[in-house]
Amino acid sequence: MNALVESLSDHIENWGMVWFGLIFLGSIFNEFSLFNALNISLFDINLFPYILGLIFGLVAKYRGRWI
Amino acid sequence: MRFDNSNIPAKFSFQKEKEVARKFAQRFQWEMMLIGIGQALVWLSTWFLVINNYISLFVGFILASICACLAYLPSHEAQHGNYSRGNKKKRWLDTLIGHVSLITLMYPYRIMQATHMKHHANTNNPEKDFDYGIVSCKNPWEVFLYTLQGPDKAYKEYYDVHKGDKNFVNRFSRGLLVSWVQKFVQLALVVIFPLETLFLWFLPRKIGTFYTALNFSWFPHQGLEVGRYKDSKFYMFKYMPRYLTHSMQLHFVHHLHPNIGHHDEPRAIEELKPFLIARGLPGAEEIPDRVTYNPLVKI
Repeated sequence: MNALVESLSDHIENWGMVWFGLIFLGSIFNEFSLFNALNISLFDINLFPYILGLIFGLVAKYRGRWI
Repeated sequence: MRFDNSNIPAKFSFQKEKEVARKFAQRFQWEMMLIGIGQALVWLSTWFLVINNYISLFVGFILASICACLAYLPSHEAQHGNYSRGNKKKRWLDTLIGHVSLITLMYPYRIMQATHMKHHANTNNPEKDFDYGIVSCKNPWEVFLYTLQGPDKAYKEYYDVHKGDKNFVNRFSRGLLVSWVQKFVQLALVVIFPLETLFLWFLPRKIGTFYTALNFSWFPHQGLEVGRYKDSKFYMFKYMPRYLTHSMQLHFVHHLHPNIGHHDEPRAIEELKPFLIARGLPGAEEIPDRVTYNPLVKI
């Protein structure tokens, strides 16, 4: 159990910004119709806003900060 | 607690100062309890009201931001045990208000408690004070940028310094679990209610965190040294009444006597003023004789 919690903790510490970008920013971007102009659809979900969120998250991870 | 007593007249001894302070550390903090639980309920209500279109998202955002600015102080009183006041049977009140009040800011109570106790023990110490990252900012803009990044950097920097303290590690670990749950809930909510999560939680808590960091950590301690009577100051703003800054102009007395209830601090300072002047507390000479109901505006 401890090993699981520890590995989860390490994962969140290392990849938290990427997950935040993908899910949080992706969902926010998805709400703005501006991004619907570029439709990369899979199962009726426009992937473009989520890819954009993921890119923001990856950039933040490698910079070590958001702004 | 190391400070020089050699030049202090007997009538301003630490023992006498403590006796005065103790008088104001007895009353039940019902106002803080009301603010803590009240703002959390208002904040939760904004979700219901916005989602069901009773109020606009903008009005909800304003309400949520005000709640976020009010969220920290009631939990802060709980961190010091100022609701239970040493009564084991009332300790649940500290825990309840400590946790509930911080929901708006999405901070785990146990981590706040653990790091805040270290802040009190090591105020302004660059190597040990969790708040030093804020205190070392040169201006409010830097505080804003610092708080935007979240507290993880400070946690990483200072956790190792204090990991020898079992009580600290225990509180911190318990808080970490709550922090994960909070982050997971926010990520789940943003998928279902994206804009509501952004405007009712994410942005308000950033505003609330900045407001809290600026008024609780930066203004009272910025530019000061380490040590009792030296690490916090009295100050006044031009045109800004203290009611808009949670009366943090009086934060110094909290660092001297953390068990004085927040709403009793003005009266306590009126009585403690001669002690503070004798000890050379920064800004003590400027403390007005009457602090209660005084907005402390410098015109």
